Amino acid sequence: MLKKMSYSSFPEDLLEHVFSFVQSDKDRNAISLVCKSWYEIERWCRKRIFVGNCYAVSPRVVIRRFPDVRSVELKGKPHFADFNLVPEGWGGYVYPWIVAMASGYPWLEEIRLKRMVVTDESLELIAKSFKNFKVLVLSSCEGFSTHGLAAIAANCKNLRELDLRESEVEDLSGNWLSHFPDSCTSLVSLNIACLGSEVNFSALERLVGRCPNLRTLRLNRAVPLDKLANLLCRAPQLVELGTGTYSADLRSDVYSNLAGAFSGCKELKGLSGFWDVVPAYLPAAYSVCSGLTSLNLSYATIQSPDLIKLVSRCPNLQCLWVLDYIEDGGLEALAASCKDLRELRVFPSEPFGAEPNVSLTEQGLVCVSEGCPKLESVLYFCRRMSNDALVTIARNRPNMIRFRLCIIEPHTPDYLTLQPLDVGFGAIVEHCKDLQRLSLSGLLTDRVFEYIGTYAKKLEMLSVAFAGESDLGLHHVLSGCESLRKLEIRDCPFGDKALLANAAKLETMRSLWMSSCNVSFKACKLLGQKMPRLNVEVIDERGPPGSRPESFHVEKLYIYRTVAGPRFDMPDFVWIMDEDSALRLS
Amino acid sequence: MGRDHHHRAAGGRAGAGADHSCSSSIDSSNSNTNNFLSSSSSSSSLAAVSNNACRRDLSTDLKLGLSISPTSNNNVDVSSSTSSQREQRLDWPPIKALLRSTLVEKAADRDRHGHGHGHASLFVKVYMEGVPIGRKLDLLALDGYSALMTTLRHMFRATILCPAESDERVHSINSQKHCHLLTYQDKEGDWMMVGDVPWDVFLTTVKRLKITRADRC
Repeated sequence: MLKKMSYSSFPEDLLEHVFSFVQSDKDRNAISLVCKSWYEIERWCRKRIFVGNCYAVSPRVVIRRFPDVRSVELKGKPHFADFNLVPEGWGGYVYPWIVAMASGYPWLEEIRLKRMVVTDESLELIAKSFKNFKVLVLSSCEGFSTHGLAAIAANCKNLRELDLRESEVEDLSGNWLSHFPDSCTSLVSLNIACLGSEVNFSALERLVGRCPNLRTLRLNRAVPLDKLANLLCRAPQLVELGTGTYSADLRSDVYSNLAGAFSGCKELKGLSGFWDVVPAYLPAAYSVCSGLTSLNLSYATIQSPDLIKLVSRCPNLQCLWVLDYIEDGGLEALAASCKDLRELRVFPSEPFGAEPNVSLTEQGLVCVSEGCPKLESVLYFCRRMSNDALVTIARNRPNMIRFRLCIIEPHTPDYLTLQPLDVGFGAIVEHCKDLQRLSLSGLLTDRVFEYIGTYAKKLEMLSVAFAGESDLGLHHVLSGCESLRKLEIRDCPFGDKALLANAAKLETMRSLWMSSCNVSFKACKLLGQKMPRLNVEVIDERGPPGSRPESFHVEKLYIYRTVAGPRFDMPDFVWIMDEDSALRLS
Repeated sequence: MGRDHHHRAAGGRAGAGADHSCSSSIDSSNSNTNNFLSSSSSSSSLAAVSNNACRRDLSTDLKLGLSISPTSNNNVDVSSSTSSQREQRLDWPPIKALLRSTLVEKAADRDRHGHGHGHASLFVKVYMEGVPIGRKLDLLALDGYSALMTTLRHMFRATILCPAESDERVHSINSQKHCHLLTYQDKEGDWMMVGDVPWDVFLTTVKRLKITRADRC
């Protein structure tokens, strides 16, 4: 460690001890800006780092500054990758990071990755490099198979958490689970819900049985219902359970075993899974309902009456994810019985049907906003909305932090007045002063963006689709939203002017995504030249953008700030607009 | 707006990663794949593979990247589909993959039970040695083996042999280095050479495709 500054009256180790109580990244960053000696002390004792974009900094630089990190969280692809807007092969490879960390951080304990490409070789390298490895979370990752998971299972002797949420795993064999050695008893969390094939069930049973601290177990759809009771009996201490398939022929012994097993689980707070659910089996879980705070029914294709029966038994629910089968009536029941609700997500059961298949409208959301005073996070898919409803929701819930509304048909106006929904979303940003995340949909003019720029001062992430009229819309957002970190836009008539006029703003943000908008290749080149600390990536699968007139609109544009310079792993449909490339292409 | 539509994958560009900076990861990540695939010439190890892979009915298969969905596509007159279905896009409404595939599968179930018929698609994953991520391909958007081979050669920019095509072509290319063969995993979990059964039969049994180097078979 460097010698401490002579005028610092605090002993270094005392400061280090104080810093150890500071958990948030923001505060740690602030500490490191106080003076040189704080910077030095802080960097030596930073144990966790979060990198929101794996191309924003190189692993070498991170390791050099923070030599003793135990926990790393990395994000790769843009968020819109979740919805197939980022072409396959774009990038986000974790391997270079793992290689660097294998030599730089031998004592690394935790790796959390989101939207990254993780090869089996990366997993094998993790398995053999980190002697005290404990946590592996792969969220919406891809590129690896059950072979890689087998390496993790076989070699990470102190593994506490293996979480594959939403990842796309090449499922070569369900046998990987048997690679956990008999000595492995440390698991606290196991999430394999995304896997397709049957796991080796006896291996799973033995593993669950010998891990006394297992709190979270999320099974995959291939685990049949009649096996669930056995698992629960071995792990009555579970707090979160994701069931497998929740259907079976009706048999009284299966039912009573299951009901008995559930009633033994006194700690259960979260339930998910419920694939192919047969409503007759739901009462088996009623005994745990009163303790539940979280219920994910987004795979449960059952109708409103069955959903109401279940939900109204869960008075302590804080988080509910459900299909629109719940309908307005079910949401009314929810509002009446779940006074602690904070988060509600309602997904469409038939997203591609042109006609509504259920009676779910703006009314359901209005009801919940009235009945649930703690509601602060909403994701709501529906087919009709009105400004009145949005104004009511905004007035009811000024405490809203995340508000994402998806009206399924693009450009849908207020169904009562046939006007744009500008005023409604305007009310949301005006009344909800702490709003951090917003997704817009429906018919919207530039006016809504004026409201957003004026009022949404704490907004950090904004998603826009099929909205706006001109550059003015984008200009309002970029010039007004001072806390904005992530902006993603698709199919909007925003173009060069707004982008170039606010180029400096982009350096304060993590990233901007624009696809199917009106940004010309020329503007991209200009931006790349003007802003050396931005990577301006043109993503175009039609071929080199330089081969078309410069005024042509690029297909996709991804801009992010970086201290690492242009990346070197681009596929042949990505071009980075740095100074050199601008010269080359012109 | 239809350009992010699903069968973009079928006409897509060349594969990812063959020459990016992670090439070292690719080379050795294949040691698994190679072992796995090189065994496909010996029928005894084929059986072992198939035993490990559990037998599933179609509804379980759907989750393995193989999905049948009611959908219309750009090549088809939308008005000819039933009134309850419209163009199915992969990018709108914004729903994550796992939920999306579950919903699409449910819709297919409903269709099979007589509530109207959308235009089917049959997505399978295609893997190639040396390419870390698989690609999705809609087999029902293709009209036969030769369209499949053309699409894959373009997608992975590789020379791929197919016995179903003319023997002359196979022999002339066979002498070259760096040829690839196309294999598929069938319903039983066995790895077979593509072209061993008629196209229609192939569609009923294929679960995934793998492009492997000819000299390893």
